[in-house]
Amino acid sequence: MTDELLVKYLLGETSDAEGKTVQQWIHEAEANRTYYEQFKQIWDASGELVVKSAVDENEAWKRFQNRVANGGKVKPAPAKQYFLWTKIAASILLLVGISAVLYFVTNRQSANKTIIAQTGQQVLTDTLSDGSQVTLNRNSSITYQNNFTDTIRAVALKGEAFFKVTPNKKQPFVITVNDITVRVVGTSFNIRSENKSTEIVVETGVVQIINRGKTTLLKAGEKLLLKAGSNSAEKEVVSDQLYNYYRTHQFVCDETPLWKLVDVLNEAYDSDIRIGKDQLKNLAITTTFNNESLDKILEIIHLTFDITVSRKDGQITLQ
Amino acid sequence: MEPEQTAILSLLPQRDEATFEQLFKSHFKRLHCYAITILKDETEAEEIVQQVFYKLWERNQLQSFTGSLNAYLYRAVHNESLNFLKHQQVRTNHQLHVAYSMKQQTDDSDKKVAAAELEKHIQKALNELPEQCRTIFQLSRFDELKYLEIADKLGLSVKTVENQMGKALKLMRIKLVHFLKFLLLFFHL
Repeated sequence: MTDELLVKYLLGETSDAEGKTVQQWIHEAEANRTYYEQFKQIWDASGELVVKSAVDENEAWKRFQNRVANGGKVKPAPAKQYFLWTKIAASILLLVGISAVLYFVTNRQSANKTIIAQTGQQVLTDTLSDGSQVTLNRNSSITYQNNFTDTIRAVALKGEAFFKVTPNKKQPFVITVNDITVRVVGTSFNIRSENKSTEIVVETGVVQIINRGKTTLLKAGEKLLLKAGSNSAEKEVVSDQLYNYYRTHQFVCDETPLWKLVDVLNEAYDSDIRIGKDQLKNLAITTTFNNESLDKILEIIHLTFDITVSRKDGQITLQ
Repeated sequence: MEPEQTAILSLLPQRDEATFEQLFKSHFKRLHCYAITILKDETEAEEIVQQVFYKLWERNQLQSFTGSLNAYLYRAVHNESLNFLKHQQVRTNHQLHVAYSMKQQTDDSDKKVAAAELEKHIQKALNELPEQCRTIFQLSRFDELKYLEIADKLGLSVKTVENQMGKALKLMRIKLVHFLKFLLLFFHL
């Protein structure tokens, strides 16, 4: 079977006889079907790249006539009476422009690129060019420049990440997440954003958080929960280290209510654990699960609280 | 070659503006779209198309111009666009565009992220196709032309179009196959 004939069939260009041959071939073996499906997948997905031209051809033609009249050069916008200061400003801008070009040319070797680190099902630890370490939880992403050449080290975050920032007072590390700005000079902290609410937990140092024009300072061992559309910024003392599980592979509970542990377990193991009885929800747990399987953790919960763990259709119920 | 195009070509040496205008207006949108799919930037794409037409207008060796005018225009837009990408470092913008769309996508489900990722891979594979392959793919996929229409437009045989379409998907499949397998796995999770 040739690729040409398969593509011809995919596009409905085959004759009846050719079509039958292809159909037969596809049904002959699973591998054949997969092969054909891959062509189809590429074809279907490439349809998403279709673009429309919003430019009017008559207007474009006028621009073309201008070009011809100017001997191939694009005619500049009609000259206006500029004041002296605009001319000065223009000269300064030109200078800045030239310097910028020179700067980029001389720095070509270390060409700056926008980098996006993104996670799907796996947690990822990434070291940035300034030595700062970022651990990205699953389904999260950060966007930053290859080299931090700006006055700040700017990073945009989606999802959840733990940052261990290399100290540099001259170049603050600034994270934007959900319209909130988090500014630090060198510290470690966790940021979690979910449905427009943002939780920041500070492990070491001090973190400055700017939300709707209001600045809050957060110190080690403190956490702050910011909700979209709300000005309230209540600091809380961090009671447990549960937020850290994806980085440390430990679930550290310290008087942690069962519902909270269940939430984190569901997220970590993609499980569907539910608490069957309301009175169990606030049972306090103090323990550390060290890189254990979900079954093992459930077994420990079962033994500690004498809770029954029942499983049905992928759902796990504690009661 | 189409009779209509022969007529246009024979008129070009005299710089018949009315004929050129008709040629420009009837080809502008499709060529513009072609450049946009490569460059991902409307303004730069128009600049490329304008330059291509300007060069055609300025050409002195039109008498020796043989082959399909359409094929020439598509080839020129393709080559100029890729040159532009190479030399003007639009790649940075392009990456920013990708970064931006990726950023938008992270809000959505995993599947959308995977779809966006696939799109990015396809875009790259497309830009790496040889010119004729890429142009024929453009006409088939985005302009939704039949093999016969493409053959007429570019002054080729239907068999050549068929071979080039096979080649286009074959080359893209080779570049994307690992990613597709991963995706399949992903969608089955």
